[in-house]
Amino acid sequence: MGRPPELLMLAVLVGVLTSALTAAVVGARLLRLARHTRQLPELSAGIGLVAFALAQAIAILSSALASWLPTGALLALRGSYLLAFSLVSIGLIVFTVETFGRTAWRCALGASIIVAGIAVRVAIFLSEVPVNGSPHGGAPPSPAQLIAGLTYALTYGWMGAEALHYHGKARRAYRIGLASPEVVSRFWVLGVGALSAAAISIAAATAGSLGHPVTVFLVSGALVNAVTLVLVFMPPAAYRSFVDARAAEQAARRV
Amino acid sequence: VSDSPAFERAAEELEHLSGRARIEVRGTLRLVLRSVGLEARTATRLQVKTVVERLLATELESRGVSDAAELCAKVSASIDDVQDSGAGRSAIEIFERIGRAADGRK
Repeated sequence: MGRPPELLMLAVLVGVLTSALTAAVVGARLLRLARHTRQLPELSAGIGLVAFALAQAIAILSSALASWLPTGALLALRGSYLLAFSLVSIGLIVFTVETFGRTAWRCALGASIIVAGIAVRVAIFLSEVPVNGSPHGGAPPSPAQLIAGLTYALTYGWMGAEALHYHGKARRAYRIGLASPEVVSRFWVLGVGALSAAAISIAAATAGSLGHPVTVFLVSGALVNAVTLVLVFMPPAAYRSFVDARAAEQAARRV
Repeated sequence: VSDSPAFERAAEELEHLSGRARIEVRGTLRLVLRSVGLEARTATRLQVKTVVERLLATELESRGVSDAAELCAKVSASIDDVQDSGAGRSAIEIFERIGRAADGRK
């Protein structure tokens, strides 16, 4: 269970870059939309996705330049990385709460995950763990890294569960003409995509003691993440036509 | 947080026509809205009207209300002139807004 070979490392890099670039593009579009609408869901999701892209870029940079940069610069990179990942959690949690209903229990759960995530990232920053100590450094993750990964998984897992739960309601809304089939399908895509991202987060947090299967899982997960982001937040015309046509077919079969 | 004008009007009318308690009427209407992912405080006129016309009658019948269909038709008609206080803010509307922006649809 040593380091993955070069080819797998390259695959991880391609997967991470694809996911980060997609998040950057989709996030920037959401921020542009938020500038016009002044609405929190698109603003928070936009911030979360842009922060995700930044965090990935910092992780790649710090890995590539680790032996070249002075300690101060590496420390700054590590701080930026942890800050960016905190922003990802904050953005996605605010999006979940604002989209699926600002209830007291959702606000309390969201605040708890955010506070726990920030606290554990501060602990990581104050320790001597490398910026992206897991999963490819070979060393087993520290308890703090494990907890950080789990709070991240919880962020995605919660969002996925809410989206799948709402998908059932949206289907009923579609049957009485209050939702389009395309919108209904995007709740399902978000649910499945976010739950797979939660699984990836858990794998990434524990990957120090695992090996090639996790690396393959991370790559495929990163690609699923990219596809999810596009279908949910920037649905292409072809996807919408496909979903509409399939819904029309099903409706015709029922008649 | 106050409920939307359409919800308020529909609830008042339903309470008046059915003779049921205010809390029961509003609770029933809230449940029916929630079953399709909508909230009383943000539901628009069109949403309340659709839910009243398509779903409420069954719910009222299950609670022993007689002439539920006729009652729902009257409640629906009563909210025709209600002005929405703003755009809907349900998850469905958020996803519609984000989807429209993807290709510049208005």
